[in-house]
Amino acid sequence: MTTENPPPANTSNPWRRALRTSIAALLVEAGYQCAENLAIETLIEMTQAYIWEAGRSASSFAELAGRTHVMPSDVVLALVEMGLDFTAIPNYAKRENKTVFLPPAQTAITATSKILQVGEKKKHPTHIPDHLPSFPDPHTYIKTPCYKQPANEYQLVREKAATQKRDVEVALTRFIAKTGPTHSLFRDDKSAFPLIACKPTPLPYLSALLPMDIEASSQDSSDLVPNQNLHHASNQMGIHDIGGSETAADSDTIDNPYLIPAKIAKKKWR
Amino acid sequence: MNMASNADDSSKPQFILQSQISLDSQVPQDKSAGVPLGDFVLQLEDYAPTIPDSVTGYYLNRAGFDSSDPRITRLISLAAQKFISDIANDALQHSKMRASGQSAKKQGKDKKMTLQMEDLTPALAEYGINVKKPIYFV
Repeated sequence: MTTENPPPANTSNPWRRALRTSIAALLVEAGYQCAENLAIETLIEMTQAYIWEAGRSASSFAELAGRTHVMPSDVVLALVEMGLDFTAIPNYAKRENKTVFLPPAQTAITATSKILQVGEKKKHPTHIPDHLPSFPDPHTYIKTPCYKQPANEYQLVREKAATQKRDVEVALTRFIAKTGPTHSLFRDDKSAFPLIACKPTPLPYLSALLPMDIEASSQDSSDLVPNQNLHHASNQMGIHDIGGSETAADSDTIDNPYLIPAKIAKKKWR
Repeated sequence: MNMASNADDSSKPQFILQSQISLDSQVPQDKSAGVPLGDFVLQLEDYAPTIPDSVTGYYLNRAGFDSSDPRITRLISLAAQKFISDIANDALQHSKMRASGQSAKKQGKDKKMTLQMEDLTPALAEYGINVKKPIYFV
């Protein structure tokens, strides 16, 4: 059966489409070769309404008779009520040019892919009956606290301090080894494993026995000016006297509290 | 048969009353009508109507009809088919009549029969259905 206009973008309703096909088949039986779209849609609507009304009134008849299931007699009564000549039905059913088309098959429901199983599902506690749905995967509801390691944790800080200290020592050793005189561990390769040269002194224990200048100054005089301390320190560092005195003069005017040398309380020493 | 003559004017508004009266009056004399009906329903066991069962079942379910018995579904399918076929036949008669009226103009072009609204509307009017072109129809 062809329609004059191309059929409108057909509805997604599959029943309506099947109904359209069957009505078209019936029209071909009646002797038509073509149908207007409007006419065929009208017939579809009427068929829908007809079937709906037949079902409604047939079930009403069944309910009127005190039944819930519809019997053929209810349907016959409903159809006759709707104006059908029932005696013509058997002949109509046995007509010659009956067309039957295969009803569209029901599409198989595509199996949903299995959900990835993660972990083992927990069994129901005793107070929950078995027929109730099982627990979901544990990772969906079990809370696992996830902390970031705090930066000031004791072990970490100690490790960091230790590595830093060692790095500083290594760097300092290298620096002195590069700038000062060195012994080499291997005779043939002088650059590998340089060792800081040891300065031999005639009385090596003497430095340990003599009281240190700093210690003495901090112990005996509390009125010792800080620039003396600086002076000693600069002397030890091997800087010239002139430069040291200059820095000492500068330190008098320094107002930065972090640069002022520390004062050690007497009471704590004793 | 008496009923057949009634069926011809089944579209008239007073039809319902008539059919009930005719049914009531026929039951004693037309006793055989009940037996073929039972036989016929049994025959529907392996009968394939043009309107598929699933389609009819779907519309019946929407009307609140529990169609567990396929024979009942097929009976209703048949009735609906008959309804449509009758209308189509009437429309065909109308178009033939219309064609004979203006046969002078185009005789040769009548080969292809097309169901048109101008034929369908009077055919439906005979059944008491007034069709107007819906404004939203494209």
